[in-house]
Amino acid sequence: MKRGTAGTLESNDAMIMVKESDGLKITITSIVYDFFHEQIENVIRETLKEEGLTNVEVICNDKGALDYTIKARLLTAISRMEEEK
Amino acid sequence: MEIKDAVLDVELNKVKDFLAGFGLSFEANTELTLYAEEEGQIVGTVSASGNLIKQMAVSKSMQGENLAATLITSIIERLNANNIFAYRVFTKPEYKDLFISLGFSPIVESQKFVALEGGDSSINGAISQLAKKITMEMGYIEQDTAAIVINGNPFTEGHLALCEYALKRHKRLIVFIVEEDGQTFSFKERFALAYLALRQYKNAIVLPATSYIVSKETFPSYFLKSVDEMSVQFALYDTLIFKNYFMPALGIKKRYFGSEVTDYMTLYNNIARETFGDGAEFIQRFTKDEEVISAKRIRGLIEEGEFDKAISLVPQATRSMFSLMLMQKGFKKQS
Repeated sequence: MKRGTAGTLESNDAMIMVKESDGLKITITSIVYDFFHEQIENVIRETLKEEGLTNVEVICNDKGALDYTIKARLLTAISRMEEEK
Repeated sequence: MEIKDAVLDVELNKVKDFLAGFGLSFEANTELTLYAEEEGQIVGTVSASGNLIKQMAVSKSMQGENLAATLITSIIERLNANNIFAYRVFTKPEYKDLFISLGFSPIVESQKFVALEGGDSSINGAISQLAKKITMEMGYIEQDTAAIVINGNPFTEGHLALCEYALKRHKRLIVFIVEEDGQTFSFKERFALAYLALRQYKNAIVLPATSYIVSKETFPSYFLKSVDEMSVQFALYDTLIFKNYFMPALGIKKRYFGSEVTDYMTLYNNIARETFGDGAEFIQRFTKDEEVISAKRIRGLIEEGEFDKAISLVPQATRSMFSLMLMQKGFKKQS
């Protein structure tokens, strides 16, 4: 199974893992879950849409990252997953 | 500050001394150790063996600098590079919140330890896989199910007798085989022997115990003070994981134990009684020729080349497979 990870657990960052899956699945753990989990999920969904990915599982461990940080980490994780043979 | 790999003995010894300052020990099975150094001084460390993250400590002077996050990030990157994406942590209860803030979720805890998991790891996911397998093979989850957890290294007549005992009292039996390798017989071999021995029973199923069931030998104890404390905490972990996750999801009513009369088993039995109440039953080991049938005894006989005696102690249905395994393993028969 192909996977890719990117990011760190430092404050204002996120560690994101992407792996191939039968369908779309997003799991979020965040220190600001109650306030921002919907926003984080939207960023992930939008990014996956732009990349044309539907059959992936995303595990996002957020430490208060801004939207574009999450997007950048996700894109890196995706490209690492696609590099894998 | 720099994060380095502790490879040389000099470095490992420095890490050991640093850990000792926190009342933590360095376990012999540690595979990977990182440390943070500032101006020639160790200020933090973390280790791993398999998927287990352990032996983390951060010096007082660095606390509040988020060094823990840096260390955990570094070790996770290293584990990912080794194709390990699901991690577990055993630590003192006071560090529970720290690990939660790093994205880990607690699975069981006692007054002395907390076990957490992170990354692509989910105990509920693992258990529902088992439930799926049961439903696929047997149609539904039976609420009157007995369970036995064994190494089966190898599966003996004694194991079979214990299974038959449980089968008589319940509508169904699940036999869990501990997954850890590194024993005389591999997980696959142990699983195959148990499967063959129980194939005759339509209401018995053999399942992998998942990586959540660990043996006493690999239970992390670096933060516990004594062997006694370790035994108690291991028993608590083992029984709580089973009671909280396995029993409710798989319809398990009672867990059966083959009991030996040793100090350790007495202690384990007491804790299991506390955890399970009447959800546990201890059965005296079965005997043959006035000697207890145990996997240990069989392994001893194999070592001595007493194949015929060894084979007489495994169930009929597994004998040919068992002798084949002995040959393949290169054990020498006594001539």
